[in-house]
Amino acid sequence: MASAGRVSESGAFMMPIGPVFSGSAESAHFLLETVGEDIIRMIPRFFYKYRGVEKTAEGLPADRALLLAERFSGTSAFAHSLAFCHAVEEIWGIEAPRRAVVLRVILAELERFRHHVAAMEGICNSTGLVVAASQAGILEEDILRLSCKFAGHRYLFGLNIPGGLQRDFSDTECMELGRGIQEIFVKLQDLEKRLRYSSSFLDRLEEVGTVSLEDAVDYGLVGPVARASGISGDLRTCLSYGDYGSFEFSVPVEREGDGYARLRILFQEAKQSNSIISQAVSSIPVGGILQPPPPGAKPSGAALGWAEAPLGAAFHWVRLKENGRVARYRLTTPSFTNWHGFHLSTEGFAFQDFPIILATFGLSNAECDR
Amino acid sequence: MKKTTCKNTTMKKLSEDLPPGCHGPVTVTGAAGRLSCRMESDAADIPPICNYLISKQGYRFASIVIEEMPEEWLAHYIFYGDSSQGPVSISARVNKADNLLPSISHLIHAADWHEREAEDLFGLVFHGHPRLGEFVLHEEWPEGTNPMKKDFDATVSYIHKEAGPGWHPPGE
Amino acid sequence: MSGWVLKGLKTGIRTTPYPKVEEHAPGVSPGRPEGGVPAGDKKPADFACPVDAITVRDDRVSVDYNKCIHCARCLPPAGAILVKPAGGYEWAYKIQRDAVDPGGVEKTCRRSLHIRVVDGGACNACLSEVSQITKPYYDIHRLGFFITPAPRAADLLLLAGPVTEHMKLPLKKAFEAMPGPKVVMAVGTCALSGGIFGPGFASGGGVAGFLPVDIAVPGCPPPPLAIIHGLLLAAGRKDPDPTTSPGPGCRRDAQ
Repeated sequence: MASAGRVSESGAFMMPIGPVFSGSAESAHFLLETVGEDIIRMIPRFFYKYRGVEKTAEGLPADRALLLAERFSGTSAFAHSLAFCHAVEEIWGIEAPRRAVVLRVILAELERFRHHVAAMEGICNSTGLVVAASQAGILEEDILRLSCKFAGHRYLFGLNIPGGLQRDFSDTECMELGRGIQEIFVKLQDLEKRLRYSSSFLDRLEEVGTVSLEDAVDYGLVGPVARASGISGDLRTCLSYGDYGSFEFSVPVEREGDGYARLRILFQEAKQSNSIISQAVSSIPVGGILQPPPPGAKPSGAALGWAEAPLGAAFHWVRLKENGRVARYRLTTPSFTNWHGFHLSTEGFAFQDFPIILATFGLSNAECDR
Repeated sequence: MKKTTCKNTTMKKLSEDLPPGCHGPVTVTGAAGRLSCRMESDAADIPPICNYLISKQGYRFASIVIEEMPEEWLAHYIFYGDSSQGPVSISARVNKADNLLPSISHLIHAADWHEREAEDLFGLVFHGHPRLGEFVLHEEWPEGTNPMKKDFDATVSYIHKEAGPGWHPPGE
Repeated sequence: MSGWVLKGLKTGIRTTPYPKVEEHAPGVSPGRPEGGVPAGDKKPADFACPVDAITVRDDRVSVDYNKCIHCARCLPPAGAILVKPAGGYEWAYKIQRDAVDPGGVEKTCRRSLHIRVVDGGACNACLSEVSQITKPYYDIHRLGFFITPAPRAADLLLLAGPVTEHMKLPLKKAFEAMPGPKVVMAVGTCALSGGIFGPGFASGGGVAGFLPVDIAVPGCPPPPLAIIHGLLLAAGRKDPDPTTSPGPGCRRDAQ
């Protein structure tokens, strides 16, 4: 068996990509072993963005460590802060009020919607379909502006706090958000319809970057990537949290596992997010939005908090001391899980497909490296 | 965290009905909150129990959490399934002097990177892991640096080795 | 294929008129807490900013924007010692220049600037905002700014993220590969002060100690218009605001 440092076939060429590459891509290194156009092996190297979040969190008070949980991955900030809050709330034995729970669902789905539209823009860009990429870019900025108008921050930073939310939203604001998202969704449906009839675009995605069901199960892939390959797991249903049990939504699953399947999953999940938001904004319970932690010495202990981040299952394991400070914080992120299986999708495909496959996965290095 | 009786009906019987390859003992306790079950066993029993959870009970692997205690390492392996049962964790303790845990990556490929990360950041050795070596910390770091250990001071910056621009992945 | 062309034409022009005209659309900027006389009845001395961005002197509160991470804990209802005025996005500023002209980018690249974006460990929010500037709403191409994948063709190095240890060498090589005249623009609070991550064992306290920074764009993340403002400053097409001082933690190394 060939050593990882040498080419395995005669005539093969090791092509290093990164960590600084492309326009504004994240820092990661990919070593592609290519014979002509075909990639026969792909060896990635990550942790260029390792900031030691788990170590930095140790000794911090829980609400300060929450800032780390929120900001280590800016594009899934709300989901990770939610998972962290779940863990801390369980340790402290407090429950966020029902109003806060439903508002959290709205914000989490808003983030998922934006993330998926950004991923679609990335896919259209990578295939060179510039008009579609511009259309998706317009929708992404619309969602960012809507988020800013609603929540005060384009990426939903500064909202979650253990025990609930830092600020409340009026029912009128929520209804307006629901209407705004519905308008954007209608335009997204138009985009989806046009893409479905763009054969040159589909040619670049169909049967490219395939991950089989067996491989996906073996590598424990999560999120839209796993659902495109046939794994139906979604933490919102299999480990139901928040108030997701009271909303009607489905988890889309495809079988092909190729780039087009991953794109279809993104569109279908965006549709489900829109549906959850419209159901939620019309039925927000009245009441407070914050359950403060117990005064004085807080319960110590360890708990697992989780949330379905836009990219998949995120698990935050937290151990707190009596003084409310973090003793141990373990982050398991969907990108970490999925980058592990990324090489499966590139091996056997053309070198020119590499950026397209990278875009269809839509993974985050900041989330993986922490 | 207050311990309660185990809510997980399947795991409850595990301590009497050990999975094949297990020597026991396996303690099954409940866990407060959302974790449906906590189990503790010897380190040697971790691979058969994990295998049992994945192949016979249909659980999925979530994470490995390593905690440093004064005299030992505590490793929690977390699995999750459908909502009727909630996540389960199986924990093992090893002495710091031994510093060795059995690898489960040959049974559960998803655990591969978790073990490599723990090796790099804690200095633990996972016996049987096919390829350990530079993973999180690149070649600039001095040998034997394990940032997640308690005796590592995270507030100072470290003298790093000069690294060249080229990189060869650690081979066999 | 013509369907796409027609769709594009039907969509029309969405691009902001900035810098010709100020942009007032809601949601273009998250705004940031404004220093001054504290609002509300909470005592500012009792408030602890998680990143020590707030200083209180003689009952006046000032905010160090190089450190502010927009956690909103000083704003109502959570903290209620400051207010957040709506809008406002011209957040970029120039670092004090030495007597020697640092590079002449303003003269040579006034009409066209090529940008090399380097991710020094950013969380992705800053990178996402940087990627928005090429999208239809902002479109820096109309201003003559282009993002290039080759450092050899770049005039400006745009950096986001606290510089992680692992990215120091690639960043240094990207900077050295750029021919003069060149400038460095640090985008985001992490690049200016390390944000909530650094300085620490794995990441630095921003890029200032590592590379000479010419333009700073604070924010967490700075909105696309703030990044464009920074680019306009770099190209000499906007005058720096004389009232904005560089602030601690971000000084240009004497070279």
